[in-house]
Amino acid sequence: MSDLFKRLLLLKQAPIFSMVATEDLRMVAGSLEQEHFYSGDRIFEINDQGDHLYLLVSGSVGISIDPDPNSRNFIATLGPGDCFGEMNLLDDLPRSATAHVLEDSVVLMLDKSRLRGLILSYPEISIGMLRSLSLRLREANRVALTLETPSK
Amino acid sequence: MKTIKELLLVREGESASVLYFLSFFLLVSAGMAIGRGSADALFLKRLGIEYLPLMYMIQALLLAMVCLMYAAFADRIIAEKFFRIIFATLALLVFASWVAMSLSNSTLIYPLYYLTYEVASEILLVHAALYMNQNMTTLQAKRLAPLVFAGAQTGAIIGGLLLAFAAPLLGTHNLLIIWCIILVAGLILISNWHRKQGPSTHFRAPHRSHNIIRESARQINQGLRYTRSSDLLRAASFALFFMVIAFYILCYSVHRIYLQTFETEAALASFFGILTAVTSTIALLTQILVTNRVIRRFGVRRVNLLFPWTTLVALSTLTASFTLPAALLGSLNKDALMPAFRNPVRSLFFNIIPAYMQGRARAISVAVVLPSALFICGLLLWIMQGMDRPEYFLVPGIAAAAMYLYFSRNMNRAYASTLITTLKEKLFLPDKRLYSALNGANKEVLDEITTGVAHQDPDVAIAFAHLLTGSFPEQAAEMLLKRVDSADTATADQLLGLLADIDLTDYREKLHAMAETRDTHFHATVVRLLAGQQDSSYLDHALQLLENTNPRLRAAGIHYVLHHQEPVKNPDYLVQKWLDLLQDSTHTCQAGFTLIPDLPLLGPQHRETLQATYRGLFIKMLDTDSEDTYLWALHGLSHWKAELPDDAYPALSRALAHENPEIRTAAAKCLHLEGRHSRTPLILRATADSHPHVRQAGVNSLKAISSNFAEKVHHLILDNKVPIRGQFALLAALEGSGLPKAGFEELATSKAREAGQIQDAVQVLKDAEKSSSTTGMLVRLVLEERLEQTIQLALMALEPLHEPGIINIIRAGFSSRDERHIANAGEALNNLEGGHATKLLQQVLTGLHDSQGSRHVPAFNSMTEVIEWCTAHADDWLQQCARQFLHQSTTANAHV
Repeated sequence: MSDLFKRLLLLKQAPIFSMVATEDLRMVAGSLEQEHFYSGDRIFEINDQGDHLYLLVSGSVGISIDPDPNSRNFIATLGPGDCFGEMNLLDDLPRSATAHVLEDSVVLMLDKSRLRGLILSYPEISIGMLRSLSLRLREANRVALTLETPSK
Repeated sequence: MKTIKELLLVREGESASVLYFLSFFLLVSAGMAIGRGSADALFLKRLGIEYLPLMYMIQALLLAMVCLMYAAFADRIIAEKFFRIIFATLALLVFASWVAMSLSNSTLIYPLYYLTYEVASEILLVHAALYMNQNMTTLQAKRLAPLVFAGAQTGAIIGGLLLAFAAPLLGTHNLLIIWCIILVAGLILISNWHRKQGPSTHFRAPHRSHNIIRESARQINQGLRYTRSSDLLRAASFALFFMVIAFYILCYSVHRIYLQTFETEAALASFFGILTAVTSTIALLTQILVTNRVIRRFGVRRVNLLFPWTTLVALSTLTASFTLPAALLGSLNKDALMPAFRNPVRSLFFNIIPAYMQGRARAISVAVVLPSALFICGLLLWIMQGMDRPEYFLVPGIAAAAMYLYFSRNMNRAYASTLITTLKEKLFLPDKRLYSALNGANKEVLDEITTGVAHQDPDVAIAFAHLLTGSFPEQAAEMLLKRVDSADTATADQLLGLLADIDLTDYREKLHAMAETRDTHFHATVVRLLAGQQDSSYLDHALQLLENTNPRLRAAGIHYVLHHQEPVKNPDYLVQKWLDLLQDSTHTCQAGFTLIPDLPLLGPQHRETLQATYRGLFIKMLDTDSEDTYLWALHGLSHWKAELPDDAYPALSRALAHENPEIRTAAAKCLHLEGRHSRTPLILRATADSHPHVRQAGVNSLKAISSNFAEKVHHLILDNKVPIRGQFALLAALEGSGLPKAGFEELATSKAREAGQIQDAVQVLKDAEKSSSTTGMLVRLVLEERLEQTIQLALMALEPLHEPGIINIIRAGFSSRDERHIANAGEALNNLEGGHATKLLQQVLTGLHDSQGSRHVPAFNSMTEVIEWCTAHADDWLQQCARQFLHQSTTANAHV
């Protein structure tokens, strides 16, 4: 039970699930698979066909958008509680970044097709996800406006 | 410090910005007080009051021109930048005036300086309000505007005192330098603040245009059009028009008295300084201690009438006695009560106009309404001042004040509806009434639907066919049968299904001919459609179908015979054919299940034989891994009329937890069946399902088993006997169920109260250290979700009590997560008639628990109390989380 609660909190921290009700997230939490990665591994590479979302339970992961997957020029370094690879849950485009494991890490993975199945069965999950996306869009618009305004 | 903040209604994180706005307005007002006193004294003494009406007329024309320019730029340039431009220009003009006064003896400079002050003061007043709006929400403005305006009053006091003491010492005209210095200080302050804090939060720049002149004309035109279409702005414009006339007649009158009373220029300037200091002190104390409490206590609308009333009284007093005490009363009205009540309230009224129109609307007021009123006032005084008795200009002033009062009442009426309209526009909510207006509408609508039915895309055609049968049933048969001819078989089958409740007597021949033109599925659909009509002419064909090898056609034949052969000539034969359907493969059984609703048409003996066979089949089929078989069994069961087999209950319970929503829906449709087990817990579980179809099926089952559905649901929601999602589904079903309005009110009040409780619980958890554990955080998260849901539920319960759509818009405002919309939604709610529930909700929604006169007593004092409350709550999930928290805490303590 405690493990379920931890997973729920992790999911709730992920921006894409932030507006999904906790009781609906129980279904998603039950579908997460745990995986260990070791320092030096790459969880995925740029242009890979992505099929999972990742939640970092422990360890550290660096994200690089360099076309060369060997590049360690990170645009972000992620720590426990961070979520990555979520864009691929909804689109079928190749990965836009490479995820390098910087420290031994425990990761929870959510399979894209499993999530799609859950969405069909429990539509409130998708409504929550849409609300999360809408919130992010509003925020992005706000930031865009703020960036635009000082020049006037 | 905390007590001071609470007293001044300043919230966490607002201190710095409140301090800035306070200082900024203090500086601006101090400068304006000096400008005003010096301009009045210099003009009145060096030129004479007889020119004042002329000044009003010139001022009106100047204002119109300057404000037209302002209107063109107000919404386009961020407010702080505009302020910087105004300050720099004004500082230059004031400095130039001082130089001219010092070096030249010409009297022309005094009216010029007077006009500079008057025009600048109007622009600054309007722009200050716009600046506030770009930095605060409606509710923030409502709370903080009086405090910020109080800063302005402090500035006026300081400016007034400076004027009173410095005028005799330095000479009135040298005070211009002080004003100039203050303007530069204001310029530095505003620039520094925005360099550190970034631009105004709520500024939204419109698209740029290359042709500013054309653009400004377009914007002013837009403002005027908006004024015509907005009840609020129209009433506000008329109110302003008459207020200006009354106000300037009051100004002229008191100036005449002061000019007669004080002989020298320095004495008059000094008096103006003292008068400004005194009236500003009164205004300040009123703003700090009275204004926002009065606004909260009596509401924006009542306070909006205060200044019109006092203006009427002030002018009446002057008419009765044209003396110094009456003049002082008039000055008190215009210089103390106006800034204390009228200005903050007017700012709140403007705040509810759509943001993109606010600047233009204000500018139209100042560029069109104010100048025209001022010009008329000046003309009136110019003509009247030659007459001996002051009543000649005071009586029109009283009439103007009365009209001001009248239009202020109209403004109040338009306030709430404008709030709703603004929210609706911003949230892009479609109006449900538009859709309902379709039903039974005119020929154009029918033509549109006809085109839709003829659409090549089957889904579009079927959607329009639904609309057609619902709104034009008389035309539906002919149009749909025509469309069937050109449709593929699957679509034709669905279209025919829509005609089940329509009289098809005139189309009998066509249907007979149509029956065997396509596949057996279509044939069976036609036979079933004919069976539902008052026509037995297909009986011979139907009897032949009993021998057909296709189970679907055989079942359709049995169905037809049962409905049209009275009595059935060979029931044993018919029942045997029926039993054959149930004893073959599962596929054949599916056809047999479609006959369940026909069981009552049989005699008791045959019926019992078939029912026993069906029971056996259900049990067998529900104990399978095949989703299809399971689904068919549940579909069959949903038509069952007799008592439910005992073994079916565990299967239904399992089905409700199935991942396939179709299975959950089918299970929920069976829950109306009577049996030895209680059906209610399963039904309530279904009403809270994640899938809307399952929820609806659960609600329908509850309706089917309840003799008094409305009363039962009312209690279920009131006592939280259903999970929160189920409460939404049931509440939606309550509309039109006959529950009296008082019932909805009771639900809304109860949910609003509960929301307050949850809000307190969330606050306790936020403050508690222990809540940082995993389970503690989860309990908090669940409570936060419940808070939002309970608020939405309370609002939903209010829907039947108000005009259609209004609560929906308010709900959307709250869901938007945009603080401006939330603030407007809160204000709209506050203005709804609706007793206790709306007040409670408003308190919860705006977090105003602590701000009212009466202190809020929290529902919980400790985290233990919150967790106890959660574990005793009827909400399963909340209970589960709280229990886990308790379990974790106990384990942790044991380890310690």
